[in-house]
Amino acid sequence: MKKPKKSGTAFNLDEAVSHWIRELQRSAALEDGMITELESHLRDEVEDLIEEGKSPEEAFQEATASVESAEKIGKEYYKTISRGFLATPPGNETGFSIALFLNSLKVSLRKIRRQKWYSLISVTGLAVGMACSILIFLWVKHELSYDRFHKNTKDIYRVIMEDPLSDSVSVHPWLPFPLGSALQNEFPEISAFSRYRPDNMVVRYEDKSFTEQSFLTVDAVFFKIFSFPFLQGNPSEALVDPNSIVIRDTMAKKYFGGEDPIGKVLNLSGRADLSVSGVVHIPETSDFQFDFFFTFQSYPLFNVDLAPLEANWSGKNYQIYLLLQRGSSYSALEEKISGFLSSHTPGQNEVLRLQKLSRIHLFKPDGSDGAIRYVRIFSLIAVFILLIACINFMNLATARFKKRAKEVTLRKMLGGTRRQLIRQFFSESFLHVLAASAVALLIVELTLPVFNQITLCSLKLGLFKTELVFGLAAIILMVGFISGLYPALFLSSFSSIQAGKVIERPKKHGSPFRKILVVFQFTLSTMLIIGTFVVQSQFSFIMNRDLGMYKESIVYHLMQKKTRDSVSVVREELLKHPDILGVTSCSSLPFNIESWIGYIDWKGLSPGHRVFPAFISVDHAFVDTVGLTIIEGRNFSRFRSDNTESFVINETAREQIGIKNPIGLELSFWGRKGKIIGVVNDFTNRQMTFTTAPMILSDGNWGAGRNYLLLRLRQGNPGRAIKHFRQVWEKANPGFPSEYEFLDEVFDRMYTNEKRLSKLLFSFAALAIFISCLGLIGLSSYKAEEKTKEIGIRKTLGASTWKIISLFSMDFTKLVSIANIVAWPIIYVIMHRWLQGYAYRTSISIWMFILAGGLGLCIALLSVGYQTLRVATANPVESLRYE
Amino acid sequence: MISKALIAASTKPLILSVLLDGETYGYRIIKQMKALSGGRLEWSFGMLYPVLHRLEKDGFIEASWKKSDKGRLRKYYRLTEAGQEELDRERSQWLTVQGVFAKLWPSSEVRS
Repeated sequence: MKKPKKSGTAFNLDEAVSHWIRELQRSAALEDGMITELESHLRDEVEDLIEEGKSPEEAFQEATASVESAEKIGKEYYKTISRGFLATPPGNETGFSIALFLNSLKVSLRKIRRQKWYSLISVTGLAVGMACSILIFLWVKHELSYDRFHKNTKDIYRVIMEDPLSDSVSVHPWLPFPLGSALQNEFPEISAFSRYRPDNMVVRYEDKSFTEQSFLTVDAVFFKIFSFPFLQGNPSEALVDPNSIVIRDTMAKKYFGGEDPIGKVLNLSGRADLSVSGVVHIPETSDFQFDFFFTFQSYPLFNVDLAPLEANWSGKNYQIYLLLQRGSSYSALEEKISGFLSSHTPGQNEVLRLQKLSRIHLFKPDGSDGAIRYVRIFSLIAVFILLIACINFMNLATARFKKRAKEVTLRKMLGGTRRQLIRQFFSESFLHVLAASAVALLIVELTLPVFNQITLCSLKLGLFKTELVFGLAAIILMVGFISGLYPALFLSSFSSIQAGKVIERPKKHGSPFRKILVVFQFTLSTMLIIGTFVVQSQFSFIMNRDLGMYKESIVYHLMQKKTRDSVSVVREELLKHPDILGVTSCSSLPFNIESWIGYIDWKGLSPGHRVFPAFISVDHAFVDTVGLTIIEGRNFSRFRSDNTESFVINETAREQIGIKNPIGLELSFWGRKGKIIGVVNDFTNRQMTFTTAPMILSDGNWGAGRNYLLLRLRQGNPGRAIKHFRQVWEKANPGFPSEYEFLDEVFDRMYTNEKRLSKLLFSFAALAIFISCLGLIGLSSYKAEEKTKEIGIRKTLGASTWKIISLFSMDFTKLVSIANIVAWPIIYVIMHRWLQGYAYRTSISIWMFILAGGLGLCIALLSVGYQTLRVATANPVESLRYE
Repeated sequence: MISKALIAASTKPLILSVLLDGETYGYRIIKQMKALSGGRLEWSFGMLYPVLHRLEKDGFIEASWKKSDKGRLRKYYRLTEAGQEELDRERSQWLTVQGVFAKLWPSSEVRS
């Protein structure tokens, strides 16, 4: 308690007492009656002390000394008056008061009810935005979790080869058969290895028989290196016996239904009988999506000798996975093995590298971006949308709070402290954010099935996953805090008189902050729209690009070694049908060449010059059936002369060989000598993220089995032709199913990623615009309301409705235009870089920008215009009577 | 000095007992307590008045404002019927405790 002034003037008892009383009055807990009582007590005591002979000053000092402070007295009083243990005297703001919080909550709910429309807009916008980001982050998390569940994930590496080509380096994981064991013998830090070769076969069990395309041939330790969960059988022993096969759980169901699959015998392609020794579950988040697993030790059962394979260092058809000893350094090993292969194949300088298992799904073998690109794009979009939604929310909140200056005035006049006001505003904004996140979770739950259909994932909303909880909490805190911050700090700082003024005369350029936010928001939306345009245009460019061959009306059928020989027989039968225009067999689907088996070598080849072509084995009917054009030389002849090999190359190969007229050029390829007889046009022969590969076609029966039977059908009704094919096929190869698929379906499937991407991008861009517009509608309606009077005056002075609308739209037009100017260069750079990932790419054209800008502007004007129109067309008398 | 806990426990019965003699006001109660205890029971008014208000609220005492001879307003407290009953309850408890102490401490050993 402050002491009254001592020095200077003489001590005045009355003055001292009234000073003391004033101190007491500051404590809100003390009522007047109490203070009177205390004063009376003080005076009694002072009088007694004076009677004892003390001076008035001494008496006063002594009487008040025992009292600590007014506040303390107040607290004591309050405690005795109110029994609640939480009780603190009013105006004592140090503690947290539940009662006050409940009051804030009540007021907030009342506000929400009274401003239904605005609450709806801001909560919906934020909820949709949050739902989008939650969906995207679920997907991103899924993508990032590929093959991370193995016990040894950290120690598993795939061997990669850097293959120097004529003009570039091809980096791929396809390696010679003997490399694995040679590496393990040489380097003790490799504790195990498994080769990997995908295959397809016809599987027969009793009367069931299907062509299965998901076979994987591995080494016996495969399931020791990778920890796929076994439902039945023992992972470490399941593949030890060459007669055993491990099947996926889905296959167990397909072939055996409810029966116990262990010990059942499957016939593979009419050659080997393997008995099921284990049932494995392959999780969705694995790149090893295979259905059947058996070992190379089973090859002899298929009449394939292992010895020549073990000695073959030039055929590159196997992936190799290494399990390193715990704690051994992979970079040191990579260093050591880098030159290993070239020491076994003299004259060639392939370099070996290692790729971490967990990177395989996301990155290409050469370390450049693979699926990670989509992860990045979508993470960015998620952040964009969340930002847009948050900005929106904050904008609306600040606009709404601005209207409440009157309330602030009133609260202040009634004694509300700044702290109470801040608390009020924060609890309101948090309430909105909480509501929005609840709605967002609901939206996610409802849209997840559709989202799963598009992404081909089975994502689940694990509500109690820590990441989600923390992420949500972070968003709630951040958005709630930021959107409450402006009104809390700005509005609460008004003195009551100022706040009164704010209603009277809003500052002319009062909201630069909000304008910046609107610009930012529209910049992001415009970028999303343009990005979508570019992706769509690139996608349709790829899908409609001239492939240099037919893909419509061609069906393919997958053959087995046993049925391959029947081609010459069935061809004649098939061609008898009027709707079958061509029949050919080849070793790969033409637009997706799988074989890369060696270099072209010719006389006069300069050292260091290397042509590494894609290889396909075909018959004489291939060129015509698929619709290629011979641009130089001739096609393969129907009657093959066995003494020399003939090769047909494509234009790219001709260019890379660098000889103008290569017809007749003698060359050797994969140990075969022969000469070039023709050049064929460059047809698309692999994923269009790459340019057309150099290519060599051979009609020899070596290198790769011609497993694909291609039939070109007459356009129109393929039903009868296919029926004919089945009859002919099943007659020639009893027991082998006649399954087929159209080539354009396969082609479409190769680009599902792009399709999915553009679909998703489109929906998210649309949502972003939707959210932004919700914000604009909210903002503009506030503005219109704020200026009701102004509009009324203008109208009475003779302004037309149209004039008023354009006047008010001007502001927003300006903002959206600025947003476009900002967005255009940024998105141009981003999309330009994205397109670089494609060998064949569409150009980014100006119309995309103009269209996106126009679209944004139109939508913005529509949402602004409607609100203004409502006010502008109102009777000016009504407007002027407003307020 | 008397411990805080004991003060807290004894304030109520002491106040009620003082009021047995008729109505009085806060300052007088403090003085009276000081005198009766030989200066050892010194209540601060920051403690007394809240308790008085509490007792008033509980209905054990009632208050009325009166002017003193010097024209100053004073709040006088008086025991109510309920206060009388409350005091009887308290007294029987205190006497029980006192009786036990009396038996435990032969008078010769009691030191002051």
